[in-house]
Amino acid sequence: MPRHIPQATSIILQPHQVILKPLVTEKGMHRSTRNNAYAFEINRLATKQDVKRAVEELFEVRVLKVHTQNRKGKPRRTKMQLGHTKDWKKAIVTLDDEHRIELF
Amino acid sequence: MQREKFMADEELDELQADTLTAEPEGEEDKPLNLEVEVASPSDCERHVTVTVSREDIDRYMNDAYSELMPSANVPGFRIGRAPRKLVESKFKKQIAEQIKGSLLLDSLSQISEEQSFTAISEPDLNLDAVEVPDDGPMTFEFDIEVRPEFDMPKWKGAKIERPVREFTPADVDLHLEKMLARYGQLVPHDGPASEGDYLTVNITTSHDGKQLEKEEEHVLRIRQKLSFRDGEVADFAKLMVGAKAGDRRKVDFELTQDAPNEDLRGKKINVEFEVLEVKKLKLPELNEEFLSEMGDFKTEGDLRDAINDSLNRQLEYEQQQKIRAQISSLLTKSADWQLPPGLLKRQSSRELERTVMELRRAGFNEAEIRARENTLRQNSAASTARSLKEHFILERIAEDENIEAQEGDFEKEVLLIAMQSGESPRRVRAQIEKRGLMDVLQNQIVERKVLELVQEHAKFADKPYEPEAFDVEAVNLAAGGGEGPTSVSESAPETSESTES
Repeated sequence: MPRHIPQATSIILQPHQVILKPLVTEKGMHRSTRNNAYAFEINRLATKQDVKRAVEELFEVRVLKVHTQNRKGKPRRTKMQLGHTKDWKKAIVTLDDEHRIELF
Repeated sequence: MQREKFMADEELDELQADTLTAEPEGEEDKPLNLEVEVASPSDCERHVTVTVSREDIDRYMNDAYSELMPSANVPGFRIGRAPRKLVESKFKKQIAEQIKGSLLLDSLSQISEEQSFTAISEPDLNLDAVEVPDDGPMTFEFDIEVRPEFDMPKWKGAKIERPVREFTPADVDLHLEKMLARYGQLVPHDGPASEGDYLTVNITTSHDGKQLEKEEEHVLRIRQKLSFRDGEVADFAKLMVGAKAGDRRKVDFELTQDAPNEDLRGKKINVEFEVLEVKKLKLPELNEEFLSEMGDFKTEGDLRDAINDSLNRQLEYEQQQKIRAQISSLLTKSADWQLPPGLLKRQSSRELERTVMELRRAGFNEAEIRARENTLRQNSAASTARSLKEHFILERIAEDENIEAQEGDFEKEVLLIAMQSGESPRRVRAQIEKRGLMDVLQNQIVERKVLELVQEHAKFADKPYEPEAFDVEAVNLAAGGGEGPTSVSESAPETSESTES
């Protein structure tokens, strides 16, 4: 049972609206070399199907599976001002063995 | 235009590269594969175009990235864990700037080692214009001033005339009087002035009725000639003798070709002296107190000995100058290189400083130095060219004969100047260092050594020497107006102010 079901919306997200940016990190590098899986920050409204479609269209690759995570924003404080960084959504996209993405 | 290519090393480099793959530690010492083109616009200038090969740029970049990798800080990665590709794209600009610096530095030092010319100035290199390209070789160019190439004339066994003179007590007397004048007091005098007296005058110079410069209440001594920074009044004594307070005397004279005011070069201008006051010089008495004040002399005999020494040193200076002139005319006979005007302009103040220092060492007093300085300034271009040529030749001989200035020589030189000017050696040294004249001093020492060497090998013919009559009064003023360079001796210690006050 998914913990977060994206709101039903009439908006159709374009691929560039789904994929916000690739996450280039040490862990991500490890995953990409070991599992051929790549991490992206994605739109909070996007579903796994949206991500699959967007990645296949943008990078011209075949996607095997998509994992998504909802990340809670962190509390932030400057002096007496309390705040929060925004919540965001992450997708880890595993590709077919024949395909690769050059992220940089 | 003369063009030379230096590509012979290329094959050698490839050979070395092969052997180096076996032992990568030696790679750092590998010379750069440079393509150097030297163009000579004139004898003293070189325009150098350097092309650094792509392999060298890549090698330098590789080294730079390898060095950076363990400490590269990229967000999302622990320090030193970022992949090389990422580091390369992130630090590209920084690394390019860094290797540009090291490539330029290394190639310049390699060029100066490989090339046959001897540089006399810093390379004129526009750093911002040089860029490390993404691919292809890097090219940069610069101008440099070099010592001109010339065939060494035969200097061994040269025939040289040498002025010689034994100083008599009369000479010493004359000089003693001059020295005492420094400590003398000026006493107002009502009658007409005679030669050797002092005048307080207002000096006004004009051209075509237009006033150029005005100097008020200037104290002058009546001597045979009066020299301005840019010209000379020949019959000054004749003009002023018999003048009384309130008199006005006028004279015309011609400006030199080097006058600071370019419009009036070579033109006649009028100068008017308005006499305000006539003064006579009263010499101090030679008592014990005065002697000790002058420099720790016990008796008059000591003072006379010191003067004799100083005269001898001046003779030595004169000898050196004469010998030098003869040697240089001998050596420069075959050397007719052109010196670029830019170089002359830059070197002329340096040259002036050098000459002043030489004079100071030879024991001339400040007033005499100033008079000579004015003459030098008047024909600076010609004299700079001559002395630069001399300098080049002497330097070349020094190189051929392995002559170098030792630390002890510096000490000796400083001590000598200190003794001449009556200041502590430490202060003299500090002053020289502060004004950046250490180079000048070093050159001077080397040149003197070379001259000594040439003299050792020369055949001398002695000739009696008549000391130059010191009959020029100097005014540190450009009569034609216009801003000239500030006087060298103005910034120097004023030990002999009393001649003017």
